[in-house]
Amino acid sequence: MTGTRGRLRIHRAAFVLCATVTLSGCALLPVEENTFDSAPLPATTQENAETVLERIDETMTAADAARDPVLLAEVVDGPLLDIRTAQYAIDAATDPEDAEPAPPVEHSDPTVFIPRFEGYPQWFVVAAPVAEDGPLRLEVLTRESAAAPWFTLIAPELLPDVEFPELELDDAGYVVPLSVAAEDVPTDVAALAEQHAAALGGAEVEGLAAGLAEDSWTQARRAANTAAAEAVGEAATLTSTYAAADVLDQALQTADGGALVFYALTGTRGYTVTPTYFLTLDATTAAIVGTGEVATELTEQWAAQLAVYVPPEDGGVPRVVAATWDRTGLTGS
Amino acid sequence: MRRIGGWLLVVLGALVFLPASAAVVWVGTDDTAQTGSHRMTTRGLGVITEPSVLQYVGPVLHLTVERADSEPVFVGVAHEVDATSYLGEHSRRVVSRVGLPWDVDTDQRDGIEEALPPPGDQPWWLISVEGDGPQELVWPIPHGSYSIVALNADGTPALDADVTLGLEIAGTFYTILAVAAFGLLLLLLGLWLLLWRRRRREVEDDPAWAGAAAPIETASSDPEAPRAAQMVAAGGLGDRRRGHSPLIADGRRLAVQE
Repeated sequence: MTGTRGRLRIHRAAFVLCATVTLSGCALLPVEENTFDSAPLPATTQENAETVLERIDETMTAADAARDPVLLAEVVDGPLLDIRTAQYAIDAATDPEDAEPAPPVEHSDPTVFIPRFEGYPQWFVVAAPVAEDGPLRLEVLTRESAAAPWFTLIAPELLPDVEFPELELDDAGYVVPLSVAAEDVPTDVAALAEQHAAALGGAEVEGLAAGLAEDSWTQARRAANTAAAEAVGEAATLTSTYAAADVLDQALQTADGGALVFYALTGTRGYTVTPTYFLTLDATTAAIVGTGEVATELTEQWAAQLAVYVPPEDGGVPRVVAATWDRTGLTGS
Repeated sequence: MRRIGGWLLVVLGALVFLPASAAVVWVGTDDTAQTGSHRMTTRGLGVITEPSVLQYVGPVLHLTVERADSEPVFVGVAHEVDATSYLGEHSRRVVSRVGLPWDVDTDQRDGIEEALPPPGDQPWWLISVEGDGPQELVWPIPHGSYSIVALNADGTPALDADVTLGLEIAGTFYTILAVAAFGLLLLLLGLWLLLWRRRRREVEDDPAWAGAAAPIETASSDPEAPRAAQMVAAGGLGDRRRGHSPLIADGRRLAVQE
């Protein structure tokens, strides 16, 4: 009995030895199971972003030269497309011979703020001047899919003497993206934009918007309205109204828990000419309106692109950190 | 029992040696197992692998793709997120499993059949090759969810290409060679045991052996028994039962000499 067991043990041992040697041979090979762990993907790289900007520069320069909104739409979308398309129409009226062609668009030495994403759409932010000695523009670029081109949605200019908020970085050194639609931002940005528009129009606002009402850019716009009213004096009555036009979903988290958000406003400045008076227009305005004198009314359309710092819920004052204010239309009679 | 042990070793040795030696030939000194060329077609934009195809990390992937019409082809590796977003709702053939030497599960998924922007223009490929004729992609497989994509270089639909897959694993050749050698050793050992037993049986059938070994009981008790038989009994009986018996052999030799 003992002998039989001993033989069995020997046979088992032989089998185990064979299996062990064979399998250990395989185990020696540098192969292991894939964990399939993947970190979120950066929206781009500095190098790729510069390539994207080069393509955008070429296309925008060509579109500007031809005043071609269709060509422009290959690289621009959102509020910026609306504004530049309107400006093409104004340029066509004021300078039909293109005597003063638009300067070429050229992003120089861009600083790229790159977030990481689990999927698409993706976006990133660039800070760069697009003309020599020009101000830094803070641009949001986005794409819907990996096959889609990048589009610039908004391009406000950084304001001098306004502190740019410190941005939060993740553990890999990328900026942290927030979604306005997903309510990642400490406040309702759409409501804030509406209140900001109201504050620009001179209305009393509360909450965060009250802080924006005291913001230097907002104050400058209100002062401009006052100056315009004083300029026409008794000749016309001026009314300024503003509205929120477009709130971007894209936002960046700031180091203090706040957010840098982007939105666009529209402004309408209407002059109602007092009977027996008329307004004399400057050459540019006259070219757009089609007459040098207005006896009834004059309506200017403006558009603002804004980057606004929104403080965290536990306190702070919002402020406009980048903005543009461009005329997009003019009618009069 | 030696017979069973011998057969066991022969079988085990053959089971190890034969496939291992075949693998040695297959892998070759470049440590790369190649599938040979196989035709892969899709009426969609291209062929994409699911991340689960890259189940193991460490091998270096050698993927060679050549369009049947020798026009430019593109082969690239991308994060799954980028690759699936790029193809979007476009028609494609999805590879869900690849077994070597060539056992592939694919699924044709219908969708949009319009051209995509040329894949070579996209910046998010981790690695890619593009051009006329055979294009070889060499990529050490890392951890993560990646997809391999083969497309017409201009992004137009309908890909018809020959695909050759190779996996290079450093040290594979010598490792398999060592396993084959071990299998051969087992095989030879088993054969030796079987042949040795046959030889022993021949010895047992030998009249001299029979005459000496049979009366062991007698030999141990009968002082008149032949001297050689006593020696065999004294030195060899126990060893014989254990299955190996050099003393028996000696005893036999002594008996023959006697």
